[in-house]
Amino acid sequence: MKKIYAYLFIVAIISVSCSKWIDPDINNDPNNPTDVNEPQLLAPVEANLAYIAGGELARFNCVWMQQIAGIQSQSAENDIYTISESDVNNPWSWNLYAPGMINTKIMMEKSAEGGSPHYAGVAKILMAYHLGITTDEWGDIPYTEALSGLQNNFKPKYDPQAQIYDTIFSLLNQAIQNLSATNSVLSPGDEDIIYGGDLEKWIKTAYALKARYNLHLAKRKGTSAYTAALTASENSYTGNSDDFKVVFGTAYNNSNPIYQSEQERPGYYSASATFQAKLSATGDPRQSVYFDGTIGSNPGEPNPDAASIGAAYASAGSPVYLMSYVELKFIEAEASFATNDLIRAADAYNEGLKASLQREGVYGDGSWYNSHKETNASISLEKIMTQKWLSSFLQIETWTDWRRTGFPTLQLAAGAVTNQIPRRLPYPEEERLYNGENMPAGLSITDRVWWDVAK
Amino acid sequence: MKRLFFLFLVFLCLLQSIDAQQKAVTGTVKSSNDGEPVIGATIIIRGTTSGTTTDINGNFSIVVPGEGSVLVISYVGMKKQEVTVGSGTTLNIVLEPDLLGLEEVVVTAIGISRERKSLGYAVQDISGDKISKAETGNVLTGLSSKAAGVNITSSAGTAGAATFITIRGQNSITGDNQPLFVVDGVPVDNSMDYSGNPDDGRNNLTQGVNYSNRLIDLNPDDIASISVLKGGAATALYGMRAGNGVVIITTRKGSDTGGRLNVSFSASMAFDMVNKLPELQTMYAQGTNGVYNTTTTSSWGPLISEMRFDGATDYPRDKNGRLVLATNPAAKQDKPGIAYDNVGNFFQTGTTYNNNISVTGGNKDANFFLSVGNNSTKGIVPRNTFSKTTIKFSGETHLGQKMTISASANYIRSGGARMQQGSNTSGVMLGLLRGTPTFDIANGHGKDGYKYPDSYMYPDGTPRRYATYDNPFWTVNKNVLTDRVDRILGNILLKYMPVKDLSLSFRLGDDFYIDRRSGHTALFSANIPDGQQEEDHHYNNSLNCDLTANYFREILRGLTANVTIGQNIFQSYSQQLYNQGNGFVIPDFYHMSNTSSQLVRENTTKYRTAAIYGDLQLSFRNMLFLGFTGRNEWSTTLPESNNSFFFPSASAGFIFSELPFLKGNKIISYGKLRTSYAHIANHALPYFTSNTFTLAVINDGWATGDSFPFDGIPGFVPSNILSNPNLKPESLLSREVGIELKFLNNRMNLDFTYYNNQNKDLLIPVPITGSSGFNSTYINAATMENKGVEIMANIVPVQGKRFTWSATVNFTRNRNKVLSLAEGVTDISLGGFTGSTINVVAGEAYGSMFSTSFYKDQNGNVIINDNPASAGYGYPIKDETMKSLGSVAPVWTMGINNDLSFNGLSLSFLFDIKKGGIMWNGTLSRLIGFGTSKITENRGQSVVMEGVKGHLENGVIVTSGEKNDIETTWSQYYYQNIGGGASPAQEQFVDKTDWIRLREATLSYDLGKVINKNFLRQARVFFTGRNLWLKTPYRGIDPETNLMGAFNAQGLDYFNMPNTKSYVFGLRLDF
Repeated sequence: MKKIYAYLFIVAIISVSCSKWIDPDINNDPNNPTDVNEPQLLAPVEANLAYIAGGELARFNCVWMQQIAGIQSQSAENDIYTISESDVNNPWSWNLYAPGMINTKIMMEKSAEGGSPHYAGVAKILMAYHLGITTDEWGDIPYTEALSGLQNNFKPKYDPQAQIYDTIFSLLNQAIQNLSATNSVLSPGDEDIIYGGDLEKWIKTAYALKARYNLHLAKRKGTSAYTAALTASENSYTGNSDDFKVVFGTAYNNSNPIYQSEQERPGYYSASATFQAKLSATGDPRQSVYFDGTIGSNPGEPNPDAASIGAAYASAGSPVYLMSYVELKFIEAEASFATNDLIRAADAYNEGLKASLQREGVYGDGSWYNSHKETNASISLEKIMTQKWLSSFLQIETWTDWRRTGFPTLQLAAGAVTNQIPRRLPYPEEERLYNGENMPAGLSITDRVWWDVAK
Repeated sequence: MKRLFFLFLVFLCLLQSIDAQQKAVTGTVKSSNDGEPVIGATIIIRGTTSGTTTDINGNFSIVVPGEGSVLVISYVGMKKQEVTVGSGTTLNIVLEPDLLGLEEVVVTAIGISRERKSLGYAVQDISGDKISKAETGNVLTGLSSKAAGVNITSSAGTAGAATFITIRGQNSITGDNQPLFVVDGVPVDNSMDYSGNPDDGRNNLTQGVNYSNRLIDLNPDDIASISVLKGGAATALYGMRAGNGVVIITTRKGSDTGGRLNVSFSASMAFDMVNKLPELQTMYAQGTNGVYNTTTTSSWGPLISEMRFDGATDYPRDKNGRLVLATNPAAKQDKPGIAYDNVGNFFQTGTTYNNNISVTGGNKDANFFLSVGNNSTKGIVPRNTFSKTTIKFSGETHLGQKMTISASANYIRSGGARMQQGSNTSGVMLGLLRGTPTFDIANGHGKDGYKYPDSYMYPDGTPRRYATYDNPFWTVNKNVLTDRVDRILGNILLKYMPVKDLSLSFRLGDDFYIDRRSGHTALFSANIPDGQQEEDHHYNNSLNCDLTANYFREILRGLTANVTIGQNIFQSYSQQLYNQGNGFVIPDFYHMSNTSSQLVRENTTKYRTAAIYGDLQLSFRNMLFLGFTGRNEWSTTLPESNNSFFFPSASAGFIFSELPFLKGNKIISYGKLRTSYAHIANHALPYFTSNTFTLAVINDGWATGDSFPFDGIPGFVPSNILSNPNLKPESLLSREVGIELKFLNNRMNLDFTYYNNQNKDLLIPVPITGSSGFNSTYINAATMENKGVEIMANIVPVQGKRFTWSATVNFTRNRNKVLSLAEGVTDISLGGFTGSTINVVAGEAYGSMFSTSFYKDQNGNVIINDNPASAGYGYPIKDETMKSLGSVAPVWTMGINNDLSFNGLSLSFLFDIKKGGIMWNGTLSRLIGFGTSKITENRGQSVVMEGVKGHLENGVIVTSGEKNDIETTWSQYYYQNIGGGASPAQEQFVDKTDWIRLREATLSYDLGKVINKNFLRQARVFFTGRNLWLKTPYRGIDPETNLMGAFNAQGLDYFNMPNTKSYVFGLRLDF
């Protein structure tokens, strides 16, 4: 009997110890929180947006726009317009949609639930920005059904670009309203690495983006687009200090994407000969800011001796401009020119050039500027767009501008694999594989997006 | 822990409460052959796992539960004997030789020793000396080609490099596919922890250094035997961590030596050399388009034979002066250009010293084993080192008359200096092989280049390199990662035999290690020119506890039952603390204080399992054997509501040669059929049952990316993998049939196994498109099967008194097929590069090579571009679509070993044959592009490419089917964009990796006849060669390599470290 009790005792011990030993709390991840609030979600959106717009997308677009040149391995292939569907998986899936737009969406939801219109406004501007660059790069994109993974929708349908643009304007208008609210439970502060919580500047940015995205529709909508852009621009930035930009940190893991590229893949990118030629032709003082020399690499003909990207744009703490006073002035110039207000066009051009020189710290006594100003008699669309290109170093907006206006005039790269410069990015491999039924098929990178009407 | 201790106390109390009549027995074991004592014979009390071994005089002593206890005496090559203890206290046992080898005992799950003939499943055991004889210093590489069904791949020949092992193919898609290792009853950690910013995940494995997997810490000389459990029925008792098979390692123990000390000493010295390298061109200088240029990274310059030095003595790039064309007025016509032998100057003859000493001793009450081993390697890459010191102590004592307590502790210190490799501009092979022949990396110092700073550094401290990529001598001196592991493996085993045929045992084991790594990339290096310091600490601790009871009983005459019940608890805990400092201020001062910014990451993982299990073995007239096991297991990684799973197995063995009409057959002396069925599992990873937010990381796939905190501001994003509240373990159904045949009195043996494993509910992070806001969802979705054949054959063509020749063949053929992944998912990437990745593809074998290819017509003819306006006119056209080129896994492998012995001289040689399998030769693709590959020596020659004419129109191939006749040249353009370079059609660089190699050859001489046995019992001198000969179509280094180390993505070669061949001399003395 004694033995039987003993065995029973063992069994009892075993079963008790098992239930305690398998403590479900052990599977609570000690490394990651289960919930966070808007202030912890905002900075990643801003940093990620600048990292992708000023990094990988700029390296694709600005090589094609011949500001810089790809001169080695993969970058040299991009120089002659080789770009594969797998090359754009990262920008799409690992930057713009996640974490960029998913964080923004969660911010929008949390701020609506929690009564924080100021955060709602900031989130909507950021969402509009993400949609703007995503649709400009690819055309039709998912939005109304997108970002619903938590609801088990893994195959969002695509929205036409026209609808995406409607959404952008609607988000920007709502944002302006939200930001004007007097009460907000949470308001952005230091975690807003762009404006440090300055709501006025956010409102100005909403107007600046309205100006930009209205202008994009000019080929579709004609004069009304230009007028809308002009109206919006009047409520926007008044100087370089308003710029919508992310200044990267000096720590390596907070550093500028171009800097990281130069550190880890030195010799992949250099100045483009096209850009250098334009800068050299006028003795443009910005040349020494943009590059560390005057030699450029001809498109498709890698030149290892070409100058590297200058310290102002390729240092750890270099900024990435997402929207700027300079761009706004050139929007005003272009819209004024298109609506036949040549005086305003020339003035805005001159102000844009001046602001650019000042921003790059090469305005000096203004003598170079004074000798390169335009007048209502001399101003032209080509001059506006070319100067905008010269003033928008490493900004992807240059590609949109070229597609819209055809300026600056660019030659096809030697040995190009396509018969013209690309006009859209290929859809990502991940979309084809995992959302193929919704993804528009049969497009080539020289096909146009909706607003890019062939003349 | 407290609870465990309590359990332990209760167990002790129980033991005290049960009593019986114990009895001490002594005896001798002799051989019937020559009457000589049998040394090391095993004496086990039947129905228990406790026993002893005979000493040098064949004597033993043992305490048995009482009269009527049955002792089972066994020895390799002898027939097992059972003796019942009567009233006497001395036993004289005479063992008969066992010509058929039927009595062989093997270790099975939970450490239970069983006779091989009673098993219904395949187990392969390898004796410790077969492992240590290979002198690799590494248990895993020592096991290569020695067991059927086991696939072992070393990742490189560099010191301390990882080794990947699978048994019967892969069972999990993205989980661990390597077997569980159990040392003396305690599971040990075999993970390959890697360094680099954890935010980069597995990408760290495509760059950085070769890491070790932790099984390297075991000392092969401490191993008595290895038992490989392959199928589900064999491993079922181990539960959810044993889905990939189990390797049971039994270490050497002490024995009753009658009080004398036995000392063994062994020492060896190995010389290691590179066994295979890609062929490089020696004709053309650095430059592009035939023009010499010292800033370009490529070697498309003029013919070196048309160049001269100008004789300048103040030119830092070259002591011979500047290279100029012979026609240049500055040319010194008596100083012709030189193609430097950089590869020859770089690799060294590595050396490995392996020393071991062990002492054992004991009497009838207690015994011990103590060993100290040291293995130190200086690699083929200068400054690459790995060393390991192990100290092992184990002891056993009889507590009272019924209880035995034994304990073992093994301390290991290992680590070394590791070198950069892979996709990394400071990688050794990258800088070395891309480097141009007209730049002398050694700056005139030849093989001593690494010792002289002026070979790799200019006086101002900046690197001396041919172009963008680091001089490999710079890297080995300046960009080193050192690691140091301190590890303790320990266990305590308590055995108690309260009554006859019942034994209880309690085993508590722990395996913990700290791996401290310190690495730096020096200021001005090609990779991270601002410099970087890494301090990376890994702490791992796993605790295992088994409580078992074993009972033996003869139910009816001829029918016996052996029952084991047990309980197991296990906990795994690991923590990584990673610190990275960036931006050195003071050159050559490698410390976090000298960095301008720092990044810190911490990651902790913990899980537990608990299980109860039972095992019933029935034996009928030594002819029919049945086995049943069941295990119920709980795991914390599963959802609370559904965390309990039951796993059964059944097996049967039938020795048909015992049938009356076959018994005594002259030709077939033994025949057995066996079959088994099991349902086993692999458990889920921790922390996947609920969604979390993670530290924000920004990565565009091009550079390292940014991470939070950002200038002091924390930031979080939703985890990109959606969790799953309904996780289940991965389910594995394992079926096996086999036949064992022995012919002509054991002169020929054949063991044939067929298995069919069906795996379902395999967990995969099902990729979803980022536009859903997430990148994958973790679900039980995939199904996969492994079917295969294993053949072990043994033949003894000559068996004489003086000369014996025996041959052993292990044949393995595994056919893996991924049946399905998840709805809408056709493939999942395991790792790799843009243009060539290793994927898991539905409908194909695990590990498909995915790469870009050339456009072809329906008949498979390559389309040759006939558009004269295209730069690619006359060349094939690349298709960007990634396609599967087949599996990286071999179709079959075979190890053939021959042992010849003549008097004291013995020779053994092991051939390893592998058929099938492919690897991406990314190295070659780049070397062609850089113009350093031998293949590019035909540059400028004209060629008409094989294929049919056609071109792309709107993304579609248009071809007339006409045979190509366009004459073109092997141009720089072609080699950089189409026939090589950064992203050509990669299918041309997917090479076959079939091989035949002489993996090991050992010649040894036993000095038995010439020594004084009273002092020196045994002495042996030997010479071993490893990898002395290799035949393979692979156009690069030895294809037994892998960029990502011991990782699921096998089959990638991108500037991997080469492999080695070795010559080893050694001796072994037993005092």
